[in-house]
Amino acid sequence: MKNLRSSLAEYWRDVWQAWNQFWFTPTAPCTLSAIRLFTGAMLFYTHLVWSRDLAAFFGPKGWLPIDLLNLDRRYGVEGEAPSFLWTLFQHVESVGLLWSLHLVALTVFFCLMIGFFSRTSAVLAAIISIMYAARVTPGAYFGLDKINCMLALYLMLGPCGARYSIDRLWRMRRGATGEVPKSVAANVAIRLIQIHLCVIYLFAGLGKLEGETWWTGEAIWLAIASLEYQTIDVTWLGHHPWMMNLLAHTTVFWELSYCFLIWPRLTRPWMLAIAVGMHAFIGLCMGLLTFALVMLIANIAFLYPQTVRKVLDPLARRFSLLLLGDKAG
Amino acid sequence: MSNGSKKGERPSQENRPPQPRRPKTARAPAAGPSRMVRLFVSMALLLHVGVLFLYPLANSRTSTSVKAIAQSPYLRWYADPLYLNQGYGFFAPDPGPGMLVEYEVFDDSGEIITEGTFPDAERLWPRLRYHRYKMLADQLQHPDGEPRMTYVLERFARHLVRQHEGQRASIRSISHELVLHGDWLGDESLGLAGKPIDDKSLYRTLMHVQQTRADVERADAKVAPLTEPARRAEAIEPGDQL
Repeated sequence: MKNLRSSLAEYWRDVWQAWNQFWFTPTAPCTLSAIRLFTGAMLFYTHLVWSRDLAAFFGPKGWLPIDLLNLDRRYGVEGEAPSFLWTLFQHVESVGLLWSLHLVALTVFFCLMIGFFSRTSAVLAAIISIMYAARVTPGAYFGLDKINCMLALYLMLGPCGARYSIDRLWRMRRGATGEVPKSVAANVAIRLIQIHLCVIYLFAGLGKLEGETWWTGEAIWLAIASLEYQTIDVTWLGHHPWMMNLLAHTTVFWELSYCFLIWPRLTRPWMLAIAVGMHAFIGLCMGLLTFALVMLIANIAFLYPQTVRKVLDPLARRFSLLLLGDKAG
Repeated sequence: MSNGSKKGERPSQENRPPQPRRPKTARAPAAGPSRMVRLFVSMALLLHVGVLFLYPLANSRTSTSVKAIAQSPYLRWYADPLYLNQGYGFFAPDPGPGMLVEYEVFDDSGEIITEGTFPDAERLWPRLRYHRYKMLADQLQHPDGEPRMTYVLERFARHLVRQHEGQRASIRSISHELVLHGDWLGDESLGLAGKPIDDKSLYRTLMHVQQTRADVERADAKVAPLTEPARRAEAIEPGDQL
């Protein structure tokens, strides 16, 4: 009995230790900073594109009028709790005010991209991106909005402006030349992006198992034969069914196994390489370039900090030398 | 090697070998948060990760228990505002047909002011803008079926009347069915020619709706001030609750 108790105690000690190591080990904030840079650019672009149709999509009497939003939020439906999803846009009637809010939003996303008041920008970017997505859900939202909101949400948890930012240049200008300290908050933010990404791919894979065409391999054909998605005609694949079958089976296997095989050091590069291939195919052939890019941005969370530094540090150094000269250190 | 001090005695400040100075901003790696903070953060993380799994799981085929938990206001107050109450289908369970919306707007004399189709890749640029309109058309495929489609198409038509200051808008939802691989290939031995992916037989009009200026004015008069949720709810007719 005593043995069992001590074994259990030891087990829970190990669990706590592993949990601690996973969540609370300080990490270099360069990966989070790189995600901030690219997510900021993506948020800026995504919302800039809304400018063409701002009143049509966000106005009270556009394609998605307020009564449609109320219906989907289940306001006033007996026996159902209304949605807690709130957006400022459901209260905005004036086009002038709508544009003012839009300009503020674009400024915030731009600040996030360049890393100017990064943490504040990240908090505002999360709130604003959710408000935009909430106004067009359902109606005109898709995977891009989900991932944009997810990344913005986690960026605000860590020091996302510690590297590759105006904030960093400002600190360097004031004499800070040393190494950026490691951070527990950066680790928590990165871990949350990693886990969220695993959930996304897992359920994308599980959802496909419910269909018939992902089993038969026909799904790839149906995807490339959809004129409404097609940007590059790859229907020639239809003459090579084995290739389509391979793509369908690889997609499902990869999505289902991502949450297991992305963690080990040995399999991680392979999983990331397939992610690049799969999203490049979706982006280039099916016209979902922004969605493909934002998924790849999320996948950066699985790059080791030293890999991110190898790629971005030389560029950041050139940039800081250009702006600060000798003060760049 | 002796440093001049007695065994076990710590060297005095002046006898210590010089230490390299740390750069101005460099700090020793943080020891991390206290145990209490870790416990608190851990509980929050457990809740959050649980929510991440729950909402994709709470799809239409899931158990009543999962649905009940997912619908609970105690979780939705957290998941809804953070936009976490989402599923992640991505072409699941099967890639479906494309949806198109075709419209004409007429003036007082019955002349066409404007006509078009969305999504339209030539007109809607950049691609992300095209995709927004594609999603707008795709929402017509809804589990609530025809009543929902009528409801949404009416609102599209009203928007067109307002936007183009027309007298009447006529709007159709069209489904573009996907050609099966076998049908695309055809079968030479049976003398069957392959069907192209844009074959006319693949397009099917699902619904046709018209809205006039009078309909728009009636709808506008019905919309209550937006800052009062209770009155907003009243603006939804009982028949609107699909």
